Amino acid sequence: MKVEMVMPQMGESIAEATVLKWRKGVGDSVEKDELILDIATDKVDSEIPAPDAGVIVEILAPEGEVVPVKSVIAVIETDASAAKDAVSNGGSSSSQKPEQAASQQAESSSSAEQLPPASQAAPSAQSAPSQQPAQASGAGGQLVDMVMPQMGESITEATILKWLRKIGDEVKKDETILEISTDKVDSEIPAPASGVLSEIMASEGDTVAVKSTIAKIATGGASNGASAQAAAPQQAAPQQQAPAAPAPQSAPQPAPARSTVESSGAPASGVPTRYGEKFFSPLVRSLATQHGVSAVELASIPGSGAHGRITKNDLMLYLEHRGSAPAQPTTQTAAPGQQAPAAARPAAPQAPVRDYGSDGVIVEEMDNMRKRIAQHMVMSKATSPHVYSVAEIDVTNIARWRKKVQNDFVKREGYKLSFTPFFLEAAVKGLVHQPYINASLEGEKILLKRDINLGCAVALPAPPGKAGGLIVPVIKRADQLSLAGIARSLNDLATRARDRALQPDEISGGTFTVTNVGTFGNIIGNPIINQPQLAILAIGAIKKRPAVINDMIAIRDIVYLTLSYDHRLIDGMMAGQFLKFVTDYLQGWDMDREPF
Amino acid sequence: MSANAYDCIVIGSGPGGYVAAIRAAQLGLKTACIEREHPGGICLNWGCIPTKALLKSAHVYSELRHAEDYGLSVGEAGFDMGKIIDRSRGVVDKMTGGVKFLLKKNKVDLIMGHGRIEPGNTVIVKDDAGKESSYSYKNVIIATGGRARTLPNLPVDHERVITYKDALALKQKPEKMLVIGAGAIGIEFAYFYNSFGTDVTVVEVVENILPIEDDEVSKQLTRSFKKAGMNIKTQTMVESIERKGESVSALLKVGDKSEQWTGDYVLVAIGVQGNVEDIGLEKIGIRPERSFIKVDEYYRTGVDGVYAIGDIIGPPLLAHVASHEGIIAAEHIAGHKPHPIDYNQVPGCTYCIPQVASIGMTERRAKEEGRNFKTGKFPFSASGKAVASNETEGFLKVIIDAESEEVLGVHIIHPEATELLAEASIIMSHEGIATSVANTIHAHPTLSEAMMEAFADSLGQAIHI
Repeated sequence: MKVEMVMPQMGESIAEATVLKWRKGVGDSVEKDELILDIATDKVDSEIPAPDAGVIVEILAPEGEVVPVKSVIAVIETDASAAKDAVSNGGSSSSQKPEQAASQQAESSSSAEQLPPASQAAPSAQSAPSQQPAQASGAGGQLVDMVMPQMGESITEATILKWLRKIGDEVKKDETILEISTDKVDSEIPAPASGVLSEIMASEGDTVAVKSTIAKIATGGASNGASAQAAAPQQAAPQQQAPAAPAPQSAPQPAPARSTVESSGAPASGVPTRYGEKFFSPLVRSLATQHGVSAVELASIPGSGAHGRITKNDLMLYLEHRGSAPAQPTTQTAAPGQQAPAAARPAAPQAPVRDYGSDGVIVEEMDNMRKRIAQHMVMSKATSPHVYSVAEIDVTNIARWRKKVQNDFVKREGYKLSFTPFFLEAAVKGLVHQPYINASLEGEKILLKRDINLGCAVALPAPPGKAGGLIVPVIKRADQLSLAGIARSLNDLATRARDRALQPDEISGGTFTVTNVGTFGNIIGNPIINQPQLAILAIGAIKKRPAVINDMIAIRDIVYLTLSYDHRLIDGMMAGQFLKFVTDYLQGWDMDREPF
Repeated sequence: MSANAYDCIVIGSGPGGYVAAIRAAQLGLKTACIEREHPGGICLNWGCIPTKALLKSAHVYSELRHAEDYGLSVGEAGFDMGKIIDRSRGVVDKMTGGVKFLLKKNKVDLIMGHGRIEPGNTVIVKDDAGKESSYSYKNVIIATGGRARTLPNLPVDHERVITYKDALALKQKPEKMLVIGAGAIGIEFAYFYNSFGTDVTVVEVVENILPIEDDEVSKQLTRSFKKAGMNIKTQTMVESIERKGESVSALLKVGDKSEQWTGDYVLVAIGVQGNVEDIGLEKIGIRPERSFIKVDEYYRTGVDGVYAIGDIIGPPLLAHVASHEGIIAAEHIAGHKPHPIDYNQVPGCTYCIPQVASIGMTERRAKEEGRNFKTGKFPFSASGKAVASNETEGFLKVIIDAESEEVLGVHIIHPEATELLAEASIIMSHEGIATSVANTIHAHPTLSEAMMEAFADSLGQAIHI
C-alpha cells in the first residue's frame, strides 16, 4: 500500500515550510517514525518522521522547496515488491540504493510472488500490469478502491457529508472529492488515484465503517492506453516480473516552461492565497493583513461566496464580532472575583434579525457537530448513572502566587498564566492518587489507564446566526508536564480548537475531562461525563467571599469544583477522597514554588 | 389544479418578466407570462436592441466618411433613413421570435392581453377584442416596466415632439433637433442624429451630460460631442415648447437668460415613469411613490404573494438589472434563498461613440462618502492598439480604497468601452484588488491593457504613461 507523507502542521500560524534536507532518497527503506526529513518554518526548524515503514518511492518536494502544510511531500510504499516496481519503473537514475530495495523484497513474505504486483491495489500503480483482464471502463485501466480512511484511533465510522464529484467525473489524484464527518472532526478526503469515478458505494448521509470501500476509481483513460497494452503479454507469463512498463507513474513531471511564482499577492500580505483547501481572494487577503487576521483564523470563518469562499462581507462581519484581538480560548477566563466575568469576552454580538415567518417558527437543520454532541450526551446519560459532589476551595494563595509570577511567566511564554492550569495540575495529582477515576469500563471489566490524558472542553465560536459547538482537545500525558507545560499545551490546543485546526489525534484518547463553567460567572455546574471516561470536573468562577479563618472574617478567593462521576464504578468515598486531595493540593500551594 | 390556476403569474414579458417566468418554470412552478403588446418588452422592441441597430448604422456611416483616414477610398457615403429604421425593426423581429420560443421551450404559458390584479389572488386578462379571462395565482410578479416620463410643459404629440419610441420609427432625418435630457437615452439619440448630419442641441438641467457618470467622463464626452458639431447646453431648463406646423420652438432658460430655439423636432428624454396604471395596485393595497413600487431585497411588495421587479421599482432602469431581479424573485418564490443584488456592482453602458461604461462609485461619490481613496487613469492615446485602430479618444479610470486596494469604481470612455467593462465587473465580483489586476498579464496589443495600466497607475506603478 502506498502511504502519503504530508507536510505536518507545525503550529497554529504556520502555513508553509521549507524542505531543508532529505536524509533518505527514493528507493531507501525507512522505519516508521524514523526521522527522514529536516524542514524549516518561519517559527521553528524540525525533523519529520516517516509515517510508516516501507520504501520511499517518490519525493514530491525537492530540497529548498517551500510547500504548504498538509500537502503531500513523499510517497512511501509499505509493500516491498510494489515498492521495487515503482522505484525501478520510476527512473533508475533516482534510485539510490536499488539493492536495498531488492533485499527488502526478498525478505518479504511469499505472498508477493503469489500475487501479481498490481492486485495489491496500490492506488497509483498504474504502470504495473494486471493479471486480470481489465474490468475498468473505456480505455482499459484499473479499478482502484477508495476506502474510508482512519481519522483517529478511537474513530470507527464516518458519515459522508458530500460528494464533490459524481460518477463519470474525472478526478485527479489528491483532489478533494468527498467531505466526511466523524464525531470528532470534519474532513476532506482526496482521491487516491487519478482517473474516472466509476462507482460510488456510499451516499451522502450514510455512515460507514473506516477502511470500508466507498468508491471505485477507474484509472487509465487516454493517458493510460499504453499500460493496457502492456498488460496483454503479461497475462501469458503471470509469474514473471513485469517488464519495464511504459509511461512509468513516478517519472519526473516535465518541468513547466518557466518557473511559477505566487503572482497575484496582496500588498505586502502575510496571508497566502491558499490555506489547505481554502482560497482567499486578493481583497480578503488584503483586508486580513490590514486587520491582523491570520490564515488559520481566516480559514475558520464560514464563507458565503461561491463554493464556500470567504467574501469581504463575511470577513467584515467576522471582524465586527471579533473586535480587534484574536479570539481567546474560553478556558483561560476563570476570572477572579474582582474582575467582571462578562467583560472577559468581547461584547456579545447583536442577534441577527431573523424572519420567523407567519407561524413564528424557524426550522433549522442541526449541523453535524451539533448532532454528534446531542447523540453523545444522550448516550452518556443512558450509560452512566451520574452522581455529583461539590468542593469549596480557597484559592487565595494561588491567586497571590499567580500574581507574583505573572510577569516572569508572560516574559517567557508570551501569554498570561490563567487559573485553569492550576486546576488541571491538581486534577492530575488527584488522578494519580485515585487511579480508578482515570479508567473506563468495558462491560464488567475495568480498564485502568497508565497515561493521564486530560480533555479540556473548549467552546467553539458560533458562526453568525448559528448555534456554536464544543470540542474537547486532549493534553496527552499531562502527568509528565509541569505547570508551565500544562499551560502551554492548553494555550496551544484551545487556540487551535477555536480555529478548527486540531489534528484528529489531538481530540481523542482522553481519560478524564475538565470543563470550565465559570466563564460567565456561574459558580457551580453539573457536567455530563465524556464517554467512555468515568468522571468530569467542573470549575466554577472564582469569587471573593467572606470566610471565617481562626474565628476571624477574611476576604478570600473561593471556587467551587464539581465532580460528576459514574456510580457504576466510583462511589462517594472515592470521589470524596479525590476532591479532598485536589482541595488540599490547591489550598496548600507552596508560595515559594518556582514557576518553571 | 385547474387550467387557469398558476403557481406564478408574471405580468409583463420584458427582460425582467420573461426571465423571471422562465426561472420560475425551471424551478418547477406552473407559470404564465402576460403581455399586452410585444414579448420582450421595451428592451427588445423599443430600447436596447433596436437602438443598438441604429447606432451601428451611425458608426459604420461615420467610419465610411472617414475611410480616407485608413487609406481607403469609397467615394461619397450615403444613407437611407427608411432602410436604417427597417433594419432595426428586422433585428427586433428576430429577437422577439426568440423570446416566444424560450417561453414555450420552458413551458411558460404566454397570455396576450392586459393583466390586472384583483383581490383574491386573481389576475384578469383583457385581450385585444375586449374579452376578459380570469386566472388565479399563488404568487404574482409585477414586471410592467416603464415608459418615457412626460411633463405638462413639454407636451408630446408623437409627431414633432416625440419620445424615443417615436424616434425608433422615424423614417425621415430631422434637420434640426432639440434633445431634452442628457441621460443615456437622450445622449444615444443625440449621437445618432448628429452622425447623419442633423443639427442637434442637447439640453440638460444639471451641470454635466450623463450626470450619473464620473465627472471626468462627462467632461470628456462633452468635448467629443462638441468636436463632432453638437450643441451642448447644461444647467439649462426648457420652459415651454410650441409647435407651429412643421416647426417647433422652445424657450430655454440658462440661469437668468432666456433663449429661443427653433427647429423641426424635439425629443423628450427626461426619464422614465413606471407603468403602474390600471394593473389593480390600489385594489390590493400597493401605493406607488412617484410611479414606482417599493420592494424589499427579495422584491416583495409587502402584499402577500405580490412581487415587483424591473423599471416598475425605479432606478437603476436597466434591462440586465431587471433580469437579475426577476431571477431572485422567482427563486425566492420557489423557496430558495438567493443572494440579494449588490447594487454597487451594477454595470451601466451608453452606446454613443465614444461609448461610456462604468461600474461602482464615481470619484464624486467616493468624496461624498468620505472614503480614503486613490485613483488611477490610463489614456487610450498611450495604447498601441488604440492608436493602430485610430480610436485614441478617451481613458480608463479606476478608483480604489487607499488601504485595502478594494476596487470602488471603474469608468471607461472609449469606442469599445462597453466590452472592456466586463473585466471590471469580474474583478469586483471576485474581489480582486489593484495589485492583483496590475500583476495579471494582459495580452498585447489589446485595449484591455488599459485596465492593467490604470490599476498600476493607482499604485504609482504605471509603465506606459
